[in-house]
Amino acid sequence: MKALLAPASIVAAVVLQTILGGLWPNLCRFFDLPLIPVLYYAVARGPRGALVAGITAGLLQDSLEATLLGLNALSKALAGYLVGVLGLRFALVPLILRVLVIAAATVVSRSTEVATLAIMGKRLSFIPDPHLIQSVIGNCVLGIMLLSAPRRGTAR
Amino acid sequence: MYRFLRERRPEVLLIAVSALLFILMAVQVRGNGASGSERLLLRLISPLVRAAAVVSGGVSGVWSGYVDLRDARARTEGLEADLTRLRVKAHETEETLRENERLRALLDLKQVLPVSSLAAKVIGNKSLGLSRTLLVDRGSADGVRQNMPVVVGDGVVGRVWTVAPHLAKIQLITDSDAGTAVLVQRTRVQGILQGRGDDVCAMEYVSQHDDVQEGDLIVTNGLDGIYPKGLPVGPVERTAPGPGEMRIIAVTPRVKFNRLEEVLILLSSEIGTGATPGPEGS
Repeated sequence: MKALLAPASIVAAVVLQTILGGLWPNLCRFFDLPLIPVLYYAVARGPRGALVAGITAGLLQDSLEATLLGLNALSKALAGYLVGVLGLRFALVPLILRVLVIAAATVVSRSTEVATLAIMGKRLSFIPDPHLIQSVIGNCVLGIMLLSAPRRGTAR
Repeated sequence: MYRFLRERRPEVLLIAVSALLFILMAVQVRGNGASGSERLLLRLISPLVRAAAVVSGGVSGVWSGYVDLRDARARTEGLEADLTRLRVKAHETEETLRENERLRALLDLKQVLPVSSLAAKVIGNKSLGLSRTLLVDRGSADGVRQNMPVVVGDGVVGRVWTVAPHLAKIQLITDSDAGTAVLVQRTRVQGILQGRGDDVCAMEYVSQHDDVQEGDLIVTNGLDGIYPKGLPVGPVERTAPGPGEMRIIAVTPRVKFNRLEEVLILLSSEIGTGATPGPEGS
C-alpha cells in the first residue's frame, strides 16, 4: 500500500495540474504541481527516488502536453536529482531552506526546459520566462503547504 | 571501471537517463512527428489521459455549470427586481388611467349639469350602524355649504351634512335618516326615497294603484329643495304590497358608495337651502 503512495501522488498531481489548467489557465502559471511530489521524494528517498519520480511525473506531464516527450521528464529528473543530492548532505528542515530549495528546483526545472528546447532547435530565445517568477512564488507557497517534513531529511 | 560505476551509480543513472531522454527528443525532432516510443508511451498512458480528460471535463462542466447557475441567479434576481418595478409602474399607470376615466366622467357630468359644481376627493367612508357618511376634502373655504347635493356620473350620492373649512361630511342617500324626493321616470309617480342603512333604499308614500314596475328608473324630482330635478338614483328592484293602500318599493342606488373616490358637489345657490335641516341647521 505504501509502495503505491508514491506513484499515486504523482499521478494525482499531474491530473490535478491538468484539471486546474483547464479550469483556470492563468492560475496554473503560478505552480508546477507535479514538481512538488518529485521534490518530496527527492528529499525522502534520495537521488534515485528523485530520478524515478521525476521521470514518471515528467513523462506523464509530457504525454498530456503538446511538447517534446521527455522534456518535462528530463527537467524534473534533473531538479529532483539535485535536490536529492542536497537532501543527502543537508538537513532541509528550516522553512527558509525549504523555500530556497523549492525555488531553486523550480528555476532549474524551467531552465532545463528552455535549454533543452534550445538545443533541440525548438526555442532559441533565452529571454527569461516572465512566468518563471510566478512559478517560483507559487511553487514555494504550495510546496510549503503540501510538504510535510520528510523524516529522512530531518534525520540527517 | 565497474567500481567507479557502482560508487557513482546515481550520477551514472542520471547521465544515462538524460542521454536516453535526449535521444528520445532528438528522434522526435528529426522525425518531425510521433516516434515509436512516444506512440508506445501514449498507448500505455492513454487510459490515464482519457480519465484525466473526463475528470477535467466533468469538473470543468460542474464548475462552469455552477458559474452559469450563479450568473443565472444574479440575472434572475435582477429581472425579478425589474419585474416588480414594472408591475408597480403598470399598476400606477392603470390607476392613473382609471382616475382619468372617473374624472372625465365627472367632467362630462359637470358640463351637463345646469348648476356649477366642485370636484372633491373622498378621504373617508364611514359606515357605523345605520349611519352612512363620506368625508371629502372640500369645505366652507371652497364655497361648500350645508345641504348642497353631491353627485357622481352614476347618480345621486347624498348631501353635505356638516362643513368644516377644508372638510365636509356627506350624508349618503342610504343613511337611515336620509330622505330624498323622487319620482318614477317612466310614470312620473312621486314618493320619498328613504335610506335604511344598507345598500337598498325604500321608496315610500306610493299607492298600490300607482304604476311602478321592477326595473323602472327612479330620479330626483327637485321638490325637496336639495337635489336638482332629474338626477338618477337607481332602478326599482322589487315591489310588494305594503300596509293599507301603500306599497313597498325597493330601490337599489346605481352609485357604488364603497368605491367612490371623487364626487361633485353642486354649488348652486338656488339649491341646497332645502327644507330638510342638517344638524347645523337644527
